[in-house]
Amino acid sequence: MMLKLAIASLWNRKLTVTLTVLSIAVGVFLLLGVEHIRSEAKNSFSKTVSGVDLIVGARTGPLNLLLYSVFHIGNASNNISWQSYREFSQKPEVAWSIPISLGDSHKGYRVVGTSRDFFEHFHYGQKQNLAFKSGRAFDSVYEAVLGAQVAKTLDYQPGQSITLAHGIAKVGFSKHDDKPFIVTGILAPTGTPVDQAVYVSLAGIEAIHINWQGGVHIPGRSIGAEDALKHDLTPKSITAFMVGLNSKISLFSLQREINNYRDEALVGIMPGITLMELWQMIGALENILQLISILVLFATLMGLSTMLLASMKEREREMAVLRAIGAHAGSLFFLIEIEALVVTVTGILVGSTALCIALLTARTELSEQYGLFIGINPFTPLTFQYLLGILAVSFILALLPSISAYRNSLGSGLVVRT
Amino acid sequence: MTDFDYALDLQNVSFSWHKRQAPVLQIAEWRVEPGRRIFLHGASGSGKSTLLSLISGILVPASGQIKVLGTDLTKIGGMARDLFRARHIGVIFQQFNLLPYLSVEANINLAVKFGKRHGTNHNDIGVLTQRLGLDRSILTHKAGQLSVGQQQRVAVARALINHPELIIADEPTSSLDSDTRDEFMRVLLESAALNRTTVIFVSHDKSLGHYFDQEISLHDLMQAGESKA
Repeated sequence: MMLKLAIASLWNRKLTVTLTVLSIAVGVFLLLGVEHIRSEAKNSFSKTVSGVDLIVGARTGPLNLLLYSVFHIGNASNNISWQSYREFSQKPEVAWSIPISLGDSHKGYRVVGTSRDFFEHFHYGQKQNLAFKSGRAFDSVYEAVLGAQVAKTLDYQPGQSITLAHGIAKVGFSKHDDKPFIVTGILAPTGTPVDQAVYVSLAGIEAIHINWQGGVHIPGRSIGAEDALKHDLTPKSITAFMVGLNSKISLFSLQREINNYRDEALVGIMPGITLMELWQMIGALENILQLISILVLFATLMGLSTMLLASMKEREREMAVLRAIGAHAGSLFFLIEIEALVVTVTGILVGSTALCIALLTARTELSEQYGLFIGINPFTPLTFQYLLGILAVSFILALLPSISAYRNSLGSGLVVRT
Repeated sequence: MTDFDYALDLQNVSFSWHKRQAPVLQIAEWRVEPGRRIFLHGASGSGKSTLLSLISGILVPASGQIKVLGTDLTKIGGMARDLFRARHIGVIFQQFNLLPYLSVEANINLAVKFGKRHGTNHNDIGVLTQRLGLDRSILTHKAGQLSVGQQQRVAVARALINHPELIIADEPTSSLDSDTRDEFMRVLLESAALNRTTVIFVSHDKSLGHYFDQEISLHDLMQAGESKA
């Protein structure tokens, strides 16, 4: 009965109540959103690469190398020579290596030049292998393998013919349209940036750039797709390479060797360590974001308490009527508390729903632009603890107007004293 | 609830808003027999409303005894007083008796719920409103949409729904015009007579006195106490 009465009374003040509900919804949206993206981003980043001992690229910041080689964010500052790659990949302590050559794209998706070793040795998540959903790995020069998301978004099947574009802009002006590629396989979804890329052989990358110099197509020197095959398609340089070792013992010595390599300025990073550095950097920012969202929510709950307290004066009449027909002062206390909780719960529902909708709309954008794979379900056991906390704070802050209702109803008689 | 000689039995009652202040109300003795209809008048600010609050158990006196329908309200707890009021006393105010955002029926039903009279149903409420000269269709209207005259009748319906032995009315006619006022008085007193309900009616308008068995001024009530004391 008190719940019905509380809802009817709130409905009677729908304008102020709606505004309060919305402000709480914003607070909840912010808190749960920050919390969700925080944990999901960490999760998504850390499961992107697994089982890779070292990533080697031209000398640059470790973070930069990690971001462009694995997450396809940003660009390499420099390439490394094929000779360096050959030298390190043939060392006895190296079990396998995966070369990576970046710089081209297909309809905004990055094209990764690599070897068949990629499909065999690259791992993600809990040491999971890449798997083919359909088709097979590339065999010859003009064959390509698609990440799951690329095939899904562009609706490609094996056998599809695609052209690559130079550069990584979504609308490429210079296209390698004289040398089309045939899709031979599509990878199973991984929930990592692997889904967002097109894979071709290093020879393929080399072939489409034969008559190119410095990123520009040289006119009058057109070499057909068939003619290109007659050239030596061994690459002169690659962007980076990943290394798996036979034994972890040699990890540090190999890293030192790479970092001190005389012939070329190289850097070798351990992806796990670099990820941790990344989180340490982001951690402080995260904490500030979380603190801000908690404070915002606290402020909105204070607003709720203020709204209820401000309404007590105009509701003295209402309270006196309830008292006259037999409500006890405690009932009025609970009436106000119930109102506060109804408003808070409504705010939580509105905020959570808005968050789910926002995540649903933003997930494609996030995964394509930032390599972040965010689940659309923001609810975890931790979230429910947060929500219980919000209700508790709301209850405590609403004590002020509730106690005021209680005391007023005890202290005044049948008639409102003015 | 028939084993009492007086509907109202006040002895040495004294009340003040704050502990250290002089009492605003002092009554040495006041007894009202069951079924009587009492008209209580007095200047505004003389303490009429305070007296009604004491009788209905919303306020408690600093000292003295207030027996209503045989129950000493000063001897029972707050919750018990509230339930006692809900079940045995009907209260009608000057105006704004109803919660404007609830329907007429919901307003009346609220009294039923607080009085824990589970037997009362939708039909009882309909019959009562009809007897008070209101159309049944009014039950679904929002109380805030009614005219003041209609609202006051609904207030009577709500006061009567739990079949109280005592009705307390605090200037219920002061916001009514003379026609609706006479109609209101007729309806109220006829309904009260039906169950031999005791009525304590407070007003500063002495022209209403002829409706009642007994007229008494609050001033005299307090004087009588002083002379006796």
